[in-house]
Amino acid sequence: MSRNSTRSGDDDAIAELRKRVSQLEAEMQESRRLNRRLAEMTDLLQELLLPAAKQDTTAIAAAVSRLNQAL
Amino acid sequence: MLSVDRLGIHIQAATDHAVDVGFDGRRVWSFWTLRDTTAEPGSLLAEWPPPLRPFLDGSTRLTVTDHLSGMTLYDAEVALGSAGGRIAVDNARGNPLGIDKSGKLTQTFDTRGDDDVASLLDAMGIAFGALQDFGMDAFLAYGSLLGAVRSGRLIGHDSDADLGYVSRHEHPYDVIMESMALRRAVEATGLRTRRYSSSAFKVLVDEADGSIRGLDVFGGFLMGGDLHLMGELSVPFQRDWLLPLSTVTLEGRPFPAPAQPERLLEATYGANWRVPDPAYHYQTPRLTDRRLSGWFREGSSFERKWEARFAPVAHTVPSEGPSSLARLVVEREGIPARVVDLGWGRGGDALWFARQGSAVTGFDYAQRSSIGVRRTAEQEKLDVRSERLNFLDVRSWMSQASRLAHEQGPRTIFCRQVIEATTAFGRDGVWRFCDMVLRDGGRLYLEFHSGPRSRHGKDLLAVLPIDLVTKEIEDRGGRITEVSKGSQNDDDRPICQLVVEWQRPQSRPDDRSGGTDEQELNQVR
Repeated sequence: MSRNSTRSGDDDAIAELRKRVSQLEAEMQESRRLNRRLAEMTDLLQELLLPAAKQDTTAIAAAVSRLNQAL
Repeated sequence: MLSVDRLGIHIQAATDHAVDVGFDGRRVWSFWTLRDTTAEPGSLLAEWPPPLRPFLDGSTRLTVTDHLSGMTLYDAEVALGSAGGRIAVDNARGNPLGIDKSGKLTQTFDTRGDDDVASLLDAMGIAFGALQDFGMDAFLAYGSLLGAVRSGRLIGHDSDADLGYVSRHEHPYDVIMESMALRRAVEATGLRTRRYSSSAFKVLVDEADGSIRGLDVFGGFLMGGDLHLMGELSVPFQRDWLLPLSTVTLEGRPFPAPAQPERLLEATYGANWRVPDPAYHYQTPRLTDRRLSGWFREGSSFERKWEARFAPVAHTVPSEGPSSLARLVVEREGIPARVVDLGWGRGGDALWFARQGSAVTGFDYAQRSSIGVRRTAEQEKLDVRSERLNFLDVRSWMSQASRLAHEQGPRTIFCRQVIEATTAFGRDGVWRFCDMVLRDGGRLYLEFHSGPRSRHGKDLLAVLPIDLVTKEIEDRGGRITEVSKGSQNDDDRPICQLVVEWQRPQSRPDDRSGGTDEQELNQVR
């Protein structure tokens, strides 16, 4: 009886650990993805802030077009 | 003992070795005698690869040859199917095809002529020049490096050229930034490119015969004693094994290579890299795949699949009339002065709106699908503008939204069967795009396939629960003023149409006031 309950306890612990590993893997992927999000935002600001600050609408349009043709 | 029939090639083998299958003296396929076969009573069966099967109707002199020793294991006239002619594994232009390392039927190097190889080498020279002008240490990688080091020749069963570079940076964020700038620099030289991850892209080189050749450029970087190289590699590596670059010869021409090319080849293909393997399968370790995908691959789009789906009709104008969603727009708004068509596909509704007098901007990432409509709009001098937009890239939708937001006056956003074709991240981009563009007025007219969430096989359109979509919209500040449910004419799949406003400050989520006018339609027109 006690052996069975120990085995059952081990199984529960393993199942719990498997679940936790899956969660950690998902969290790790989410954290890796942040690199791309941050890079996109930085690139966008870099390419658009200057023409925007100069209020150069032609340059803004050109920058938007360039950004979208070569993402 | 060997026999050949419509199922495949039946062999007996005790050891695993690579064999080449030839039709009328030309290699079309290679396989490993144990790895790529299944056991059957008394023999092993190597099934015909699916891409080859449609060609197997006729006769051929079929040979099976041991790849390393060149020993002939089988050589006989074989008839498959019922046709009387010779089996010709060719493409529509009559160019010979073979199964490459990825199992695809393509023009492998062993089927190409000298002129073709020379133009490939020219294209590689152009791509290297563009990368070097940007200051990148670019080198031959993967199959191209293997061929150069092993024999000075392109590998016969390979089908593409691979270039790699090692970043000046050591962190994925910087590597992505660098790749973005690099791609713009390459495009500034006049070359076209196509991105397929955040640190790898193809350089497209126009060939003399009008075809387009794509050369893969794989970004890599060293971090913490490991080399990470798209698309397959995360291995312990030293900087001085890569730099300074050395030179190898490929088909008689010099090309840059890693300082110690054999180190990279061993890391890629294992200790046996010197032994030719025409049926080589690379198994990317799970951790490597997760790392590279997490950093660089998330967000790849279905752009090419959409273009392929519409390719047969891309030069034509859709014949069907306006969609039911377009008619709903006119019922509610009259003919809108300005229509923003998100994901306009072939552009049928956009053309219809423009013919009624609307100024239309059509957005899509698959731009080749709307060639016919754009040409017609130009001929009819209609106010139709086409713009590239990808909801999986913040730079794209945010820059386009900011540009539209600067233009004065209300507009109608038309978005039909788009949100089912993207991810949750892409949908969030749609809602935020609308929030930016509709703050001064105007409405979103949205249509999607509704029902329990699912995506069937190769279907590019998934199905989304209405509750999920409405919650996402409301969380992003949208106020839904109308909901219509019905089914599409052609396949009876349930669809949902929503009308949404984003005006501020009334549109704040905590300031919503009922007013949803829900209609049940048995049939959305």
